[in-house]
Amino acid sequence: MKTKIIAAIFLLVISMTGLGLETASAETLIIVNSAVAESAVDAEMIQKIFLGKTKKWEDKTAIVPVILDEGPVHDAFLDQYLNKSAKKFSTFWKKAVFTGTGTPPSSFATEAEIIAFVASNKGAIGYIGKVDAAPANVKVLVVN
Amino acid sequence: MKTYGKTTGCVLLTVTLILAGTLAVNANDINIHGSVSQAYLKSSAYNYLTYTADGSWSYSEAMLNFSTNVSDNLRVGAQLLGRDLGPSGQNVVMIDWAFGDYNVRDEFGIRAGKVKMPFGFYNTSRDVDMVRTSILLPQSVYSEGFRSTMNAIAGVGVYGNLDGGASGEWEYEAVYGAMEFDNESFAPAYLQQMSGFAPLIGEVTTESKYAWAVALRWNTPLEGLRMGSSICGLNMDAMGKYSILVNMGDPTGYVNVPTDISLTLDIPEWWVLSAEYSYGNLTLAGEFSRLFADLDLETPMGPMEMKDRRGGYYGQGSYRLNDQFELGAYYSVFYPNWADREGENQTEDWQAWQKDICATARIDITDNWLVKLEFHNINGVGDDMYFRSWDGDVEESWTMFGVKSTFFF
Repeated sequence: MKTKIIAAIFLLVISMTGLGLETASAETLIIVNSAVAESAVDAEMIQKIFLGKTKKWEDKTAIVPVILDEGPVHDAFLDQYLNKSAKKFSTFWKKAVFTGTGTPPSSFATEAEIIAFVASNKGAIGYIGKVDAAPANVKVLVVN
Repeated sequence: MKTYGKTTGCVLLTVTLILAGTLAVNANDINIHGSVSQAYLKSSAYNYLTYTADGSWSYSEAMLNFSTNVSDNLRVGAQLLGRDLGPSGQNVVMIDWAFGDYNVRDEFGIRAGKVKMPFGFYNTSRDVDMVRTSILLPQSVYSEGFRSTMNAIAGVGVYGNLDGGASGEWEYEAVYGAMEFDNESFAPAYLQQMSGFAPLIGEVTTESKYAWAVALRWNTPLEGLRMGSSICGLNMDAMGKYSILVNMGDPTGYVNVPTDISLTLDIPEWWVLSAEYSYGNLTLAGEFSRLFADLDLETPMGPMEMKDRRGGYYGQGSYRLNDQFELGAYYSVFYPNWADREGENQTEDWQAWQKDICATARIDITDNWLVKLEFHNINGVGDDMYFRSWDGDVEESWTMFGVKSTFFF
């Protein structure tokens, strides 16, 4: 009897879930502070930066990654460069925070805030949705 | 039961330095995170981990951590943890981890203080309920009874990430120091087991001589596949008293006499092999662990030598259906005596193993609140060090249901 009750609970949970998983479709631009020496990096380095595994630019300046709180641009960036869903990315950093091994990137609600932060902080790197004219006060990084 | 040792001083010193460090930076630069969990467990038979036969709410956790980047290379932090699981923990707040982390370069960093013990893929995050699907980790590798002992090492460690080019990426971590024991460590459990019928009384004092752990993780060229191995060892002394009945002669009869029992525990080798594969919303994992422990006891009846040769393995899978729901299951097998996996030396063969089929549903209600429902179908009672008193019928197969809520920020 108890087994049937548990099975019923699981079926209820499954029936409540729906099947639609959002897919990321937006395109993104990687932007860095104008003082960053690099003009191009490979995708693996982007992954390592946002997972906290690479912490310094070539000139030993500290890398300061920033992210969006949520949204299609955030999802597209994670899918394209980190091969992770927003949930998995969040879980990765929760594990680091609660085991003392890392501090997650600061997050912002809008792309305008990302641009403003990157423009005014040495070593900063972030991402925005693809636009025809890139913001003038930051550098767009070429990703090979 | 409390434990005091040289390591306590080291940890306190580290915390003092950390506090000094955090006070030296702007309060806005201090990251603060925390979580609060409450669970309920109910079993069809036995009192496993806590008093589950009648249903038990005695399973809770609360964590609060602080960290800050003092400079580009130096980060310091500390986490306080209070937990309760049956007679263990009792919500006494302890330092879960507290260390300074100096990152020289991506390939090399140094940590000093009380550092989480790198053992298997999930030991460091075993208290972090929100990063996994299940309520209980597979007990064959991550025994709740060993939790406090396996939690952390107070000492010095090194770590780093090595780029292996086409072979993938290698991560290493090594820690050397001493362990902090509390009243839920396995030392009291061993002593209780050794004293047999006689109850332990008063405090059990423990002194960790040394402890070490080394972990190597390989992020393979196949996206999502990582493999690892970790090994640890320790040496410790424990001293306790138990009460024995002594015949004082007529007319006095039998009286209880406190008697010393001491234990030297040497674990030269305790290892685990790990593999995890993640593809989209699916994650598969498996681990295999063996423990080799030698115990020397001094009792009123004379010296005794014992060996503990336990081992176990599990395979698990989880699938995230969407942002709110995740399902998971595992099959975990534990043998308290690896040489007697068939139970030939047991009264009942199922006393020689504990085979656990577990299914979990995780529901993320909000970004800061989750609830888990979990069902265990268990065969055997091999993990007998962590069964609490039970006067009901013994059963080969039994079940356990759990529900757990966690708030976090």
